[in-house]
Amino acid sequence: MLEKASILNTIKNNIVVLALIGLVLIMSILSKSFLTVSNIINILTQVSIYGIVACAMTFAIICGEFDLSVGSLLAVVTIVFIDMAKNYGFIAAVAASLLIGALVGVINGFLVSRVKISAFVATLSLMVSLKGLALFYTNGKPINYVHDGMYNLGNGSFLGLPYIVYMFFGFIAVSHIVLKYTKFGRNLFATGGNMNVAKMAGINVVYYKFIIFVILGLVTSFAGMIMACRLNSGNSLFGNDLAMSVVAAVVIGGTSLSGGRGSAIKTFLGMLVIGVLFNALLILGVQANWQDVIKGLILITVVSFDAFFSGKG
Amino acid sequence: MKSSTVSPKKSVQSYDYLDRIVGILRKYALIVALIILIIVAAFIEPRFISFQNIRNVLNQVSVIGILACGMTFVIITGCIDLSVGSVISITGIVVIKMVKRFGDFPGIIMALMLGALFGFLIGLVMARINGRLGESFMVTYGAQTALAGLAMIVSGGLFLMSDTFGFFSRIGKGANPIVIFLALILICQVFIKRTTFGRNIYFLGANPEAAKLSGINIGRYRVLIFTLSGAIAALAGIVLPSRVAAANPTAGVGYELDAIAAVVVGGISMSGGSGTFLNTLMGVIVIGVLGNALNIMNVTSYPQMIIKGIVIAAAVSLDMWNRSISEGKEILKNA
Repeated sequence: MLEKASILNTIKNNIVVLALIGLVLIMSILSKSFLTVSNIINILTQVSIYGIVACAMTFAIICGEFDLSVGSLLAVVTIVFIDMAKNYGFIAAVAASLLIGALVGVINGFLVSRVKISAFVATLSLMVSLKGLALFYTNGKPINYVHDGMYNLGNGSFLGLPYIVYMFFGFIAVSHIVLKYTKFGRNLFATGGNMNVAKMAGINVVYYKFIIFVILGLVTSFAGMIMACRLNSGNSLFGNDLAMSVVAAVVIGGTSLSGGRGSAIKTFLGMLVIGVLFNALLILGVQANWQDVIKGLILITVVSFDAFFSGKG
Repeated sequence: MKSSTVSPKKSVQSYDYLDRIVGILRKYALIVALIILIIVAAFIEPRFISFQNIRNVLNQVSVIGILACGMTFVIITGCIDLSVGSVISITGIVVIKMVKRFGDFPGIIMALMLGALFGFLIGLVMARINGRLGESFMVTYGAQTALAGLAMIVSGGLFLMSDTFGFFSRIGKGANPIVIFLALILICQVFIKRTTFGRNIYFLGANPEAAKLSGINIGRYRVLIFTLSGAIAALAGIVLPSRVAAANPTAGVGYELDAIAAVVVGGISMSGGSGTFLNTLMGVIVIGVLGNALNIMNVTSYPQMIIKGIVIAAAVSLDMWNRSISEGKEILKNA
């Protein structure tokens, strides 16, 4: 019995690694072009921008909250960034983008931590408003601006790896260190694990519930700027699936939606699983609609496994 | 207490008087806001309060209203159902195809059964993992994605036109959607208030552990609630294509968020265990009147989205404010 339990435990703790290895093995048998350097770089590049947001989302989910508005915020930031860069220059664009990100974070944080609205409703209302703002600002049309420096930032590479992949790795590393080795990180876990106990232990839970949304806003605006640089374009359609993909990646990695558990490394692995999966569906030539069906079913399966292994089943 | 005895009596009275007015305004703020909105809109455009326009508003919100009924059940049990928009898309296509092939009634029943089946499957997963808000969010989002894909596959990505005669085409004509919506509100309200099932739903939403310990089979309730939500979504998915005599594989996109918005604007908490269908009716009407008034004031759809988001946040903030004050008073009373 004990052995069986410990085997189950090992599987539970490393299920995302097993899934990743399984996927890679199956795909390298099915397709010769999968396990090539260029395809691996391709996968990493594709998950980088969403992966950066996923780092901040890990903080939020560990703290027991999540944010639906990141997709709309990303769209607004790409638009404002491109527009400001075109008219007022790069520095003004960066400042305006970060300001918007911080402002949205402060509003979300205020609504959730002070007014105590559930994160779902608070961020849903911001999501609707920001999407309306993005559409209103551009009248639904993409806006474009090509600048060599910005293009290079988004598309250039160093030692074969694009800059944005380094940024992604950087965010993962910093998130991992913050979560694992700082007081801030430990207090996040405590707040997400059991808010009342955390409060009694003297942790300012309202502050933590507030600050994670500000972090999310700032990081999302950073991701939006990178996306604008990469695509030389601002578009109200960008980031439509960002919130869901990122939450899915965090959960697939094994960070529990109920809060108090998780790590940045797990999110990295979850993001890789999603990237490999989408890449595999593309390489195998699965039709787009069937891709949706498969993605949906996989999400349900993963959440079920997560709930099952966390002892709720 | 101390400060009130120290301060002069007159100022205390005036303070009480003001406090009472603020209290009443706060408590019925949604209705007050609705009345102000109607007066302003009627002032700008007198035809706003015409019978024709009132019917128009109700007609516009009836599909969201039907959907919001199913959503109310789910939210009262402390969950969320994001799959209903895709259920609308897919049942819309299926009902038109089946009505053409098998006739009106078999087609409609098949579509309802299909919606119930999707809800049943979601409910089974939810019951198996004993999930609450977070899990239902992810599971039904997965179902939404999968069903959206399935709707595209079933329709081949094409519009489908329905016949403009027969029973099916009459469902969405004239005042019928309004009748269906109001009847559904009434039935659901009676159902949740007058039956054991209804009382147990509140119990389950307020405290699932206690409900389980007191002998309620909470897994079965989860399955039933999601099945109900799926079937009601299928009903909305029948009314919508019947009204426009066509179905489209992306017809239901975004409907789930509108339904959730209506429910929470009506004052039902996402934490579950509270709320009635009168809240839902109120929320649906506010959303409908707001959209109609903005249309009449020539506000285009993009700024309307901005306003809608703000209204959701404001309505829920107000609700939280009310709740915190009434809970604060209860605490004082106990002490």
